[in-house]
Amino acid sequence: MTDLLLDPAIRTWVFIPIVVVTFFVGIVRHYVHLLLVSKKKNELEKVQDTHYLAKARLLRQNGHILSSNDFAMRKQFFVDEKDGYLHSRIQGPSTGPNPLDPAMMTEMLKGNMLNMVPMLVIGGWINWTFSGFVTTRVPFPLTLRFKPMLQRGVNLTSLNAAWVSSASWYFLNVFGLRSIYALVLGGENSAATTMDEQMMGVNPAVQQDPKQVFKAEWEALQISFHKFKL
Amino acid sequence: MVEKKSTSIASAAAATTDKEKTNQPVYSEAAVRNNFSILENSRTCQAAASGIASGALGLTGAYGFIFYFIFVLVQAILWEYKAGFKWNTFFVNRSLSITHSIVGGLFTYVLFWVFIYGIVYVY
Repeated sequence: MTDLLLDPAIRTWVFIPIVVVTFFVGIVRHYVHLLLVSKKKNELEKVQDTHYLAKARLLRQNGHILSSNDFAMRKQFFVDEKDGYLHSRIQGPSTGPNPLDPAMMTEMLKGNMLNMVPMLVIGGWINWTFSGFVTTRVPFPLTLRFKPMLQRGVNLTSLNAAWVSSASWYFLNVFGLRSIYALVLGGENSAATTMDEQMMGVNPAVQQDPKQVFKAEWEALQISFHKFKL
Repeated sequence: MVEKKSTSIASAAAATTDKEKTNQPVYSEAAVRNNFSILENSRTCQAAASGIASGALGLTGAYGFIFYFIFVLVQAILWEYKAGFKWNTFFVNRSLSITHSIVGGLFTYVLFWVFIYGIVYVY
């Protein structure tokens, strides 16, 4: 069936240990992430803002149940020129959340470090320890271009590109085990998130959020028309 | 695990404003998230099991990938059966039964395929 005969010792001491190490390192990374993540302290003003915004939105959605007098009263609380809540928040402090906020930066850095470092360390260790021999054979045909990438320590030019080294087996493990982590650790686990998700998720959402949100809410309330449904 | 799928989306029709005449359904977020996690978990199990089968059978090359997609279709049929063929009461997107996490499942499938193929045929 196959053209090369491999020592069974490779199976016992290389093939299976790489799987085991990758799996357990992922689990350990998940728990370390849980230990290191700091609790976010919510400021009272931000909580207040979110609640008021929710109240304004509910007023728009369900206002048809209130009588017109009640509706006008509540609407005026929000949009009044002098005292209205939304108005004062729009005119108010104009500093948005600072992207160079130290707390957020450390959070992002910690997450990135925690994902990158173990992968590099373990990858390097595996490359160093298990080098110079071929580990397994992938069942699908690969072109010759993949050879230098997949057969790191093996210098045989005529060897079929399907025979891969242990480093490539390690990377295959890293990608394949991500779904298994979801199964084992249940849903929201930090062993499965990739690095670019973290970068993208933090930046756009935070930039000028408060003022735009208030302005949008104010405009929506202005144009909302009250029709009594009861 | 699959029984939980019977929590259907609470489609309460709420009229938003009087400007819109049509009723828009409201989705219960917990139910949606639960349904997606069920899809994800069963997809992982299917990928693992079919990977092991494929490795044991010694499939190589294109046959292996065709095998995976056959099992994706079988999985889609099973999901549709479990949803009583009323996919829209559980999910918004109609094509989700075939395409949910197809690449993630592919990675898991290839991992198990290479692993079992190595254990059985190379050693």
